[in-house]
Amino acid sequence: MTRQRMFLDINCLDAARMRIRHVYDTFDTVCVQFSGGKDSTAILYLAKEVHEERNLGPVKVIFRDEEMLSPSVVSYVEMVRNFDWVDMEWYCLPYGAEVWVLGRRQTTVMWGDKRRDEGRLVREIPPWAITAYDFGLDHSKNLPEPLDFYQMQGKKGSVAFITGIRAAESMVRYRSLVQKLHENYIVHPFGLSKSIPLKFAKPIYDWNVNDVFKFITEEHNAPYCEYYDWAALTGSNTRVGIPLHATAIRRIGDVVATEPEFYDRLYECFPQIDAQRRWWPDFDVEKLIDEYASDGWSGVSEFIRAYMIGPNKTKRAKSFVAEFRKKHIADPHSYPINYLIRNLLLNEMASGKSVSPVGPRTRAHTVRQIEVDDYE
Amino acid sequence: MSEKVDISLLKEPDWATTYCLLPDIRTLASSLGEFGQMAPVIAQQGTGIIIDGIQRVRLISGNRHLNERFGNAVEVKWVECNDLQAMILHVQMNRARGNVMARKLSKIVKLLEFSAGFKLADYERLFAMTFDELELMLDGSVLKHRKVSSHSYSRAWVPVEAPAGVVESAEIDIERPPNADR
Repeated sequence: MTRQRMFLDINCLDAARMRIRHVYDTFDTVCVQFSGGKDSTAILYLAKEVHEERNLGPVKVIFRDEEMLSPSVVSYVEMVRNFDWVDMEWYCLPYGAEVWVLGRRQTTVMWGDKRRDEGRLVREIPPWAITAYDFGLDHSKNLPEPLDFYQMQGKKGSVAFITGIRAAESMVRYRSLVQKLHENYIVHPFGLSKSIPLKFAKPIYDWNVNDVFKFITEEHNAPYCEYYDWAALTGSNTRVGIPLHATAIRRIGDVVATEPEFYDRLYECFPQIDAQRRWWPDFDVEKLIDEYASDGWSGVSEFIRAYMIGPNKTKRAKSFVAEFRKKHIADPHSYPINYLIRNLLLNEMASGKSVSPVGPRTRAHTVRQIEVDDYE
Repeated sequence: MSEKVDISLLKEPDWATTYCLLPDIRTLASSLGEFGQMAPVIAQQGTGIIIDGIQRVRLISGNRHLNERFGNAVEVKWVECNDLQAMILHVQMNRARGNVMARKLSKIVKLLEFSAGFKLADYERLFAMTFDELELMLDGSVLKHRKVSSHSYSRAWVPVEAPAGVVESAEIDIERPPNADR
């Protein structure tokens, strides 16, 4: 069912304050899921307001350290950690992260023992961090359970992690925020067992970037991560986060423009990324897709051999192709092979994520229209 | 004219706007090792402050093989100029090559504005810098850039079922990066 937005007679700040109070009224334990970015900074200060109103003591904060963080983000999070009104749990847990270079996908284990032994961790694990060893596990491979499972440990009763996710960030996020009609901003984490009493709450889902900065700087006169000023100076994206996955690495030039020292450290750990920096603007995605798609299913197999590095990526790609193939057999126009190659090359291949048919304004859709018109 | 100068007489400025990435440094080191110094280092007469050639000097002084090859000395062309002129020349030479770091350039522009009273015409003449770029360099903050102070909070919304015929993608403005992938 298609959704639309119904605008209310209050502004998004007043609405977010009502939502976050409702979250504190409803759950036994509330934690801010903090990333060092602008959106989770806004959430942090909204939570601070509630803690001061209700005399709740320090705000519980969870920080998931993803290793490949820029120095400006790390230094900002360290500053926040030292605020006397913040009680932060800093997690450095091993899980799979993607390194995508000109279409070739590879998985690496964040904070993994292997790279640590080779001197190729982007940063050392901070001494105050909670690691897999604290759960009786090690850093040789991915954790067996979703990360939220570990971050839930020791929390009492029903738990809400409040996050800074906003609908305007992407269509995927928008859709996730309009699916439910009642309490649309409170959801169960994807992939986590329903028996675990954890919910995500997204009180600023209807804010835009300017709402976020206005709230942080004018309502609280609070600092934000220095990266955002450098991004403004250099015309870079206003997103912090790991820079090497399929979507983020296409803007690796932002890292060079804002924090070149960080780029150098990434290069030392993953030298292959320099090809992405040098050649992405000239990389002809369409030509590559056409080359492999023109050979049909054998082209798909050849693409997987050439572009999926390591058994994990290959296995995931094959299972993605198997699911796609069923849909292609049922409706080849909506699931053409060039669309499959495009997905394998450019999109996320999260497990459990199903493929949507080609949509309007895509090349594949245009081809479909031509074929349907010819047939008629 | 240039002359051979001992590296110990040269100093790196603290206002340099350039940053050479590690892979490029390695290429430069290889080139220096194979072909030697192809162009003189530019430095301020009297102080030895390097205006152009910081990476080459850093490599030759820090790399044992290169240091031995060059005998701890490089060809230098001296320029008679004051400190501000040295900064201007440094920016001019590197802006043309496109390897200036914006946040470091912003510091120099602020210094020129406040200590030398430069006007827009000066920036246009020296750096081909337009008003928009100058304003950005002088402010250097996301708040001014996004005009946050004049922004009013958006209206809150909730999702509802849409009537038939509503196209979902037309419903919301998705925030995009300010320029194409790079």
